[in-house]
Amino acid sequence: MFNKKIIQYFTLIILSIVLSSCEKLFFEKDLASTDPFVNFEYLWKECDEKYSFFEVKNIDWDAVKVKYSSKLFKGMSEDSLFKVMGSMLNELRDDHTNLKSYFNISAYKVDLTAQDNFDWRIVIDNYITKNYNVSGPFSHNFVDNGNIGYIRFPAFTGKVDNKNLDFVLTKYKDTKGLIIDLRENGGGAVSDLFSILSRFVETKTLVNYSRIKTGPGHNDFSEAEPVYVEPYNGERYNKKVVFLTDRGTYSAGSFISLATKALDNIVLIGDTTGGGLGLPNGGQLPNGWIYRFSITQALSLDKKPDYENGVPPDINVSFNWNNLSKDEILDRAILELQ
Amino acid sequence: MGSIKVTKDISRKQTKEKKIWFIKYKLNEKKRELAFRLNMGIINSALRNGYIYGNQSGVLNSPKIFDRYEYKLFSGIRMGSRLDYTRFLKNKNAIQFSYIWDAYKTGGELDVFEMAHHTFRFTFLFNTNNQ
Repeated sequence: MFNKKIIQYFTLIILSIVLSSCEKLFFEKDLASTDPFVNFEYLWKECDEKYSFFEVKNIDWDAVKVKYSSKLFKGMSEDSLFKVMGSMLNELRDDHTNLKSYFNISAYKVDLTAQDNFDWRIVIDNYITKNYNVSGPFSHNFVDNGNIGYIRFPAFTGKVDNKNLDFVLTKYKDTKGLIIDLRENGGGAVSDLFSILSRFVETKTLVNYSRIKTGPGHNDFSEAEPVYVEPYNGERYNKKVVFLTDRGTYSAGSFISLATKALDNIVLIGDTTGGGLGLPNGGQLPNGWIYRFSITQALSLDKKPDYENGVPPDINVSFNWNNLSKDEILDRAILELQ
Repeated sequence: MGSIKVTKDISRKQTKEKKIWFIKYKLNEKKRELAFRLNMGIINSALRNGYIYGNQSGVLNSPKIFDRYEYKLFSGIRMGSRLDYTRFLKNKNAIQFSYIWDAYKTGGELDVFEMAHHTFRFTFLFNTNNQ
């Protein structure tokens, strides 16, 4: 009896051990590795199969591989490997593409590829005074002797709510026009842009299309799906509106700029936006670093993805840094609305 | 699923008296059971992320919880087993110790999803049929 009992318990233990390692029979090998060649190949291939703008940006990704793989060597430091792989990703000219380690984050920094076109202090000192209102994410006041409303919106924080918008639009409902300043707005929550645009349309309006990668080929995309903006059932503004943009207007900032191309009552003034019209998505490298890159394309109404290189303004104006008492872009917007 | 179960009654049917050196002790009658079940995914299906492991419903202004998820039938493999040791008490209730293993792998060549669970479980079983 004693022996039988021991056999029973042994059976239990052995079965437990056997089963706990059984999945190894059909699971794939763990990819964890600090080998620079393994990590480089993994990142290059992930981009090759999933990045969405190779053709739009005319990037020869095979040539990029040749250029940067030649910089790899066995035993190279983590910092050196990061520089090689971060530089490879920067060839995509896309700030939705980053490599992130515990010691650094790579970024293309598209806003630095054009001149600076915004200084908040100049706007306060010469246009809206220090007595401007702050309503949630919006900083605002009258300009042009109370004829025009100016609203600074510096980031899509996801905190645009109807109370804030109701207050702002009610305050400026008797103005000739509104200026919404999106310069150096690096983006954020896309839900904000639909909340804002819904106040400037009177009917359900098709503003652009979007498609997503569905396979490893550079042109493997889903069908283009339409993007609509529907009017808000409440306070809306139906006079002329100007959006101010520059190269620092990125991601959700570019999405909202792209949508204005379909809306006759909104004019873009300033500089071309920085792009960022692909949603970022990513994963983890075998060495634990995190990466991301664009995996969708926003398309204009003629279903072209070219605005990824920047949404151009309707009226191109640059800041003049020789005169710090004027904001030439804001002045041009006021002129447009007078 | 295809499934097989083996059950073994390992009850002590008679009271036994034992002795180790000078210590005497008594082993009373006990009802016990050992069971082993093996499950195999003959028809395996999965609702899983699509190719890109992401979706674009946010930028379409129509958020959906499972946008771009894909349903795959006859795909991948699923295998599981369960080992139960059940000990019945005098009041006809029972306590059960279990080890449960469940592993699955989705099909396709890209972004295969693999996961395994190992669960140790302790269960009280209450007899609701006292006839």
